[in-house]
Amino acid sequence: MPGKGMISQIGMVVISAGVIFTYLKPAFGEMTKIQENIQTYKTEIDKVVSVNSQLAGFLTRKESVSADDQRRLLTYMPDSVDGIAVSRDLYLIALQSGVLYKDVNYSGPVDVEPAGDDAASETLRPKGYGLSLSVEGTYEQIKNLFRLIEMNNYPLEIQGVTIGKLEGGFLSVELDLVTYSFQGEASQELIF
Amino acid sequence: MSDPSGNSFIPKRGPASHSKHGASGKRVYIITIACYTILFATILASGGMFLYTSYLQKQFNTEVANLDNEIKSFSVANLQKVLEYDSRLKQAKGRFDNSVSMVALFRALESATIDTVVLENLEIKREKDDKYNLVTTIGTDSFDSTIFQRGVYQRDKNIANVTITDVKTNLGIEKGDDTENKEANTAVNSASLVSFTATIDVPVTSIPHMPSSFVTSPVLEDDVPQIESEPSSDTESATTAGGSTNDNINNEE
Repeated sequence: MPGKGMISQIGMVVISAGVIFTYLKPAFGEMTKIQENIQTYKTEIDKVVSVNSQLAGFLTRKESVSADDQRRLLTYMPDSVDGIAVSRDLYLIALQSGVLYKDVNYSGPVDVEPAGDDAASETLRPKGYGLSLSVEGTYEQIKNLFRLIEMNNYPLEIQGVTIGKLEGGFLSVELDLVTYSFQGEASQELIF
Repeated sequence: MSDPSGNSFIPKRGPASHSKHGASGKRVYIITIACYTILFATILASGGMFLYTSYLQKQFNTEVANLDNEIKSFSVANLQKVLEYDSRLKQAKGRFDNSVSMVALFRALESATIDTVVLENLEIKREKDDKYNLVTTIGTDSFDSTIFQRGVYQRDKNIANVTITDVKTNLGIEKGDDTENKEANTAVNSASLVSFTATIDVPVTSIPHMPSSFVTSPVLEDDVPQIESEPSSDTESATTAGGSTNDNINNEE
């Protein structure tokens, strides 16, 4: 008949085994999971910190651009096009070049196809607005007109030119032009 | 008779099994020690595991809070500003890179046109951002001039392609015309005995617009009437007269 000592020893072993299998083993598994989760969160924190610092860098670089340059950019690629203002500018350019101003017509938004079939270029295309200008003048005056159009602070892209002869050595010129505005959501920030 | 062993001074011994009972003074209960060790180790391990798990849980909660703070510090408004600015710059660059000097185009046409031809009319069309297509009716004084002009166009490095079509001849002045008509016809026909249509393709890359200076403010000449208008936030009057355009024509020459 086993003695009390034997029973207590068996009891101790049984209790130890019970604690190991019911508590220690699952607790070890849980501890491993928590450690893995901690590592995952640390990795994600590093990614978010990297993105935040990159964004801060870009923002700093943007704000380091001078106000004059920002204004020029806004002039070159405005949020919208005022047809009357552009027509006025073309009228002034025609007067300055020395040609005889005949007519300017603003036709509104036009589709301007990009070069090639690159789908990526679709996202970079600004919105186009068409205009036509009719003038008369000598060949040198016409060239002067083109020179002044090139020097404009915003793009006046010449899409078509029709030149015909008139009496007295003069030429009649019909220009098809396109100007552009920014395609996208403009921010509310005012740039000075 | 009395038992003679009861008077013996020699103590009685018990059964043989009891004789070894006191032979060794100490007994080592290895199994008992092992059992106690296992039990105490288990208790210690449980306690340690509990404390370490609590510590890890606190650390995990801290990392969750840190991640939450970092995510909250991300500004969507700043991202929108940067994206919008970047997009505007790219669109402006796209148009700037594809801008063309019409003056350079005319100079290229002038340099490729011989003296004995006359351009009657000219049509220029831009085909996407690839090239300009020029269609012109040209009058010359002879077939030799026509052939020579075609060769000059073909050899010109600014011209990608040239096609001569619709060649017509004007056989000159008939006898018997009166003097007035004769002079008029001579003036026209002597320069245009042969006429043809030239279709010329000029790549945009041949005639890029490359300004040599950036004008800081619009300048109007004094003789141009200045129109008072409210400043526009969208498009501004940008007539310039101070800068000069560096027409990139045949720079390699």
